[in-house]
Amino acid sequence: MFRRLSSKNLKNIVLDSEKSHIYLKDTDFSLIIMRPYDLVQLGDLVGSGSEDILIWAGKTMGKALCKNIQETRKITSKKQLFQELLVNLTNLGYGRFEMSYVENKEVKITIFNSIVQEVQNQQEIGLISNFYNGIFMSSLSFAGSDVYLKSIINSTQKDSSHSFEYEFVK
Amino acid sequence: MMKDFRMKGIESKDGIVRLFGERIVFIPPNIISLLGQIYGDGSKPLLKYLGKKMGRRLIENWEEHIRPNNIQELCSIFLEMMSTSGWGHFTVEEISEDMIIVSLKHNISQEEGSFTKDICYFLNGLLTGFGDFALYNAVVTEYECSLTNTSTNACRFIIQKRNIKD
Repeated sequence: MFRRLSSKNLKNIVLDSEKSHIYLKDTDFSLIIMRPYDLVQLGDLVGSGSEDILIWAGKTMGKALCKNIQETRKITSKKQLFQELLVNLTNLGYGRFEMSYVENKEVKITIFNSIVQEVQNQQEIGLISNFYNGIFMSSLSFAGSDVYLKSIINSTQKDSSHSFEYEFVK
Repeated sequence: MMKDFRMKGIESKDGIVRLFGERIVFIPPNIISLLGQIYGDGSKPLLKYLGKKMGRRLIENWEEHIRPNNIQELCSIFLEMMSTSGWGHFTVEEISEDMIIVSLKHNISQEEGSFTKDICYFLNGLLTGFGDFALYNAVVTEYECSLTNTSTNACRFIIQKRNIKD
């Protein structure tokens, strides 16, 4: 039997019902839906250099999100920009985030329910990590912070977190 | 007109968004154009291949949950879900046992100001994955494209059952 399922709504995502386009609420940041695995496949098929491609894809997304945040919110500090970024990423399905931010010293971002849990092998885990790293690096760069990646801790376990630690270049 | 985003089978909690139990994420569509540029000359077959895998998986999952009775309902579900997924507005123009004609208005590629064909290639693949499931074995041709032909406001795709001899 053809099941008439009820529709549920998502906070912070809106639909232009005439054009069938979806956006992050209060922005012109258009979106499409994909599975994390499809995202990995987009990078994986290239073969050599696939690591760079997902970093680049992440950087494109991070920069665009930051630009939108800056245009639509009253941002008073770099920390606030990153906090808004992490809220947006949660709304877009990339997990729940916690951040420790010490100006001019270090930034540590911990992801609970990271999409890395949706992939299996080490190469795929690396590609997803690169995607997140691209988002974070471009956002820090957008805010004018010069940082380097100090460490990444990956775990595909459901209860474990996925974390990224950056240090400011002195 | 902007409305709250609603979709059958979607749920969200603690940064996890699921569609019929399968985790999804929202990404900006220009990532596909970006990857298309990186793929270079090989972008068309690669994007079609990736789209096909995704389309097949999506329709299998949606069909299992919604259980349509016939090809009309199957087609209606797929295009409604695809329209809600942000690609633009899909409608069916014709359905038969061996052919489905689909039109896409407001192709997201065009709205983004990008007139590259990469998203069309990916959508061609998505419809091929759907067509393989709906017609058992299908080939998809985009015979009209609003990106390259200014006299039309829609992209039109024909999904045809592939003759076994082909």
